[in-house]
Amino acid sequence: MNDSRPVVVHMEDICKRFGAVQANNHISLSVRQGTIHAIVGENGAGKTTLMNVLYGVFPPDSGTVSLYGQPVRFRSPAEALQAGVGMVSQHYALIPRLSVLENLMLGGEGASLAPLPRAQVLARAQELAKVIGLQADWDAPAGALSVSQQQKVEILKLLLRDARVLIFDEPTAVLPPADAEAFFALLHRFTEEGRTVLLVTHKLQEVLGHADEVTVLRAGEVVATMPVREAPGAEPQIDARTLARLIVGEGGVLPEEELLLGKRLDDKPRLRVEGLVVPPIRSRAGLKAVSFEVYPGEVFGVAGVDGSGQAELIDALVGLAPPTQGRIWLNDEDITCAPPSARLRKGVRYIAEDRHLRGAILGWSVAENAALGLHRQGGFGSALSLSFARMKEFAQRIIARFAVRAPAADAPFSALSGGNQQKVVVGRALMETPVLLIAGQPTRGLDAASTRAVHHAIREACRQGAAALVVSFDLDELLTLCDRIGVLFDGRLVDIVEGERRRREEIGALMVGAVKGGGA
Amino acid sequence: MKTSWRLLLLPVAVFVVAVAVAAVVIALSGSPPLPALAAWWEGAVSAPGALPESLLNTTPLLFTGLAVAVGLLAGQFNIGVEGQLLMGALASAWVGFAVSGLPAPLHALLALLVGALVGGIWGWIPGILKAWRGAHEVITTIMMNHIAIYLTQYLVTKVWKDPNSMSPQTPEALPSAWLPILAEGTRLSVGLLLALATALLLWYLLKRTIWGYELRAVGANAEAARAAGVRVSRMIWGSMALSGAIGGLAGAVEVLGVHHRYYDQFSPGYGFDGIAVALLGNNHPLGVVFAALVFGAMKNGAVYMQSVTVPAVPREITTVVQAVVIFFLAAIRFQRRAG
Ligand SMILES: Nc1ncnc2c1ncn2[C@@H]1O[C@H](COP(=O)(O)OP(=O)(O)OP(=O)(O)O)[C@@H](O)[C@H]1O
Ligand SMILES: [Mg+2]
Repeated sequence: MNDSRPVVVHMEDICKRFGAVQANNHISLSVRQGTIHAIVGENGAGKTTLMNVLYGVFPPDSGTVSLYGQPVRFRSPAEALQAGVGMVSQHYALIPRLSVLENLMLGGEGASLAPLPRAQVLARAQELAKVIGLQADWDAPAGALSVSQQQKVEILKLLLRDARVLIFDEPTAVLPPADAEAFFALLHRFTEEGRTVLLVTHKLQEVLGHADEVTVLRAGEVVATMPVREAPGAEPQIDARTLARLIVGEGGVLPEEELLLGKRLDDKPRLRVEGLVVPPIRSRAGLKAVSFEVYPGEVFGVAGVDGSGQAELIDALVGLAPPTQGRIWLNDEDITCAPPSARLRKGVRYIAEDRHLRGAILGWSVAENAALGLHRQGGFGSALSLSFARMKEFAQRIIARFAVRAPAADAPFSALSGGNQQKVVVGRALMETPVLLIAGQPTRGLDAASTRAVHHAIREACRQGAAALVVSFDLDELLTLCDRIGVLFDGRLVDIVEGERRRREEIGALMVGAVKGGGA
Repeated sequence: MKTSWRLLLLPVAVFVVAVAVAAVVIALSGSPPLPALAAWWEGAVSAPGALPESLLNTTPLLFTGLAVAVGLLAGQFNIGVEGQLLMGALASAWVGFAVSGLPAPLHALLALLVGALVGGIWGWIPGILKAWRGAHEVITTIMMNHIAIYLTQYLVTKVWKDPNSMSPQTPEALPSAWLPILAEGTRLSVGLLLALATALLLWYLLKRTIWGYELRAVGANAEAARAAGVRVSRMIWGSMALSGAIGGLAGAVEVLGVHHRYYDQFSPGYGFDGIAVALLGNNHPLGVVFAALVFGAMKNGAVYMQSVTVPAVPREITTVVQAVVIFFLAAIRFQRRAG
């Protein structure tokens, strides 16, 4: 490690407690200028909490933060930004209805009372956008942007305020691989400019590939801080296994890599989609005449570059977007126009790709969220006597089966760490074997062990007779879990690969439209 | 546990601040504030006959507070409770004087029902405009208020005017439509019990029924509710209709329980007061009961205070308290949502 670089961020002996949960327990951390410092740890280890302390979201119970050797005490993100510390949160904070430019003017977490002047923002934003490779219509509503564009807008927000220390909380959790690479190129550019990066991630390959130093947290404590490489660009000195071992601890189990394939249980398709056309929602293409089948016992993966029609496909399958043409059959029953409630009744379960947008209600308790969408299925009492006791009991079963770290079943949902929120959303859909599972990015924000547990749960459901459709940007996830993988390109299902052809290169080429698919 | 304490503490603290601000205003207007506050309290609680009058003032505020709260829980800001109240009041007054031959409890019941129904329709219209066309309910309900104000004025001066009176009012309702008096020697009718029952019923509806669960889901995150199978647009007009029906009941109970007829401008703005009541009650039906009690007593006490203070403190001082409550609670809640 090049120790001549000055320490920019120093956190000393930080403690933060939420009720009974000691989220941060005497954590100390030093980050040197111009480095990428990774922070890893299981879901609920305290990563986001620590970053929130640094960003002034809340003060620590004890401990000190210093910036360039000066003790600081940020009382709000606005103050942190003023001092050059900026953060892109795990859950983006753009206001979907406001335009991109308006969001930029609003700045960090709505904290500064006076927005920046429009003309000045526009001029600088256009300049900076070129640097970070953002091409966006400044007047388009921020909600219409793709995830990676939204992220760039968030980054732009920080750069506009000239943040020297950039905190990223799981920035690549939902980024397609190509965008993730571009993102890291950008990070390196930032460090070359002398900015300092703190990177929270569950993806160890990102740590090994890009970080200079790594700190491992477990149950609110630092278990190790070590250099990853001698100098930027050099080979990593540690391997993924060492890191994984540190993350789970002595008694923890390392999830082993194995294929989780299954077999068809029936030759009659569970889901049949024919000539489906859906107007664009979050892509340019929409869905253009897509046809395929999913059989009981099978996990059908959907690969594709972001914006190739995945959102439209999911929305049509769960009943949130009416197709303009084509048909959807569930077990020979035409459900093309059935509302979500009817599909839920027939056993269709949906894991929303964005848990905060669609998957959960943040202000509610874990128990109330556990029942969301299942509340009409009779398990929680009748229309006139909804039972909270039963919701709680159900939530407790999810908590037990998916090892959710929650203080209690009736704790507020927003008190859960991002990954633990995800486990509740996933668990809800899988506690009883669904007839058809529609899963969008089901392991978003999960640590390695939980990712594995969710994969097993999906596979187990299919063994019990479910059919599953999984949309993911993570090719590795699709390759371990899915029996067949359909590839979307520009709104068309260009091919369905299985058997021999289930290979990275093959799918990668199809995803960018490099080869014409044989099927579909 | 800890959070519920804070939920309780915040409205109390805000109310105390609001009264303090009112005291300052009283002092600035030249009256000694402490005796004025004492008189206020006396008029609200301890003077002879004060309590039943305070409860009488509480009744319409409880209804309108509940009406606003239901809307807010479903994510709908129903500013049109005033209009729904006026329409409901006039409709029930009409049933009261125009329908005859019904026995006592039935006649009153029918009048109440019609009042609720007409108020419900008056809330349902902006609800449907929002659900189907996306017209913002704040704008449309304000418009509906104006229509209600002028429509009732027209009807009560031209069509259903009491021929024996100079003022714009309907004929007196038949006694069979009157709400029974609760306690001998007071003006307090069973309307108060109706209001309390409505609060309880609403609490049950919101917390223990699927419909209430879905209503709260739509208010908290409409997109998530939609994905969870809730028919969001139905819920939008449904909640607005329910809110309007409760507003209509507020008017019907005032007419049938207190005035026994509709007269123009009988409501000093109960519908708008409901916004402060709902805010202070934290949109919780039982919280709204307490908030309505506080504001009802305050309104009543202010009348007495005005009569005994020198120079007289105008009873409109209660609007200062209301304004401060709305100001602080709206600001704090909004900030929480942003953060
Ligand atoms: N606002 C809060 N109220 C109560 N508990 C909280 C709150 N925020 C976090 N916690 C608890 O603190 C612990 C650490 O949470 P934190 O969000 O820091 O985890 P994390 O390491 O970021 O996890 P993930 O990888 O799942 O995002 C968790 O057990 C969580 O339940
Ligand atoms: Mg986190």
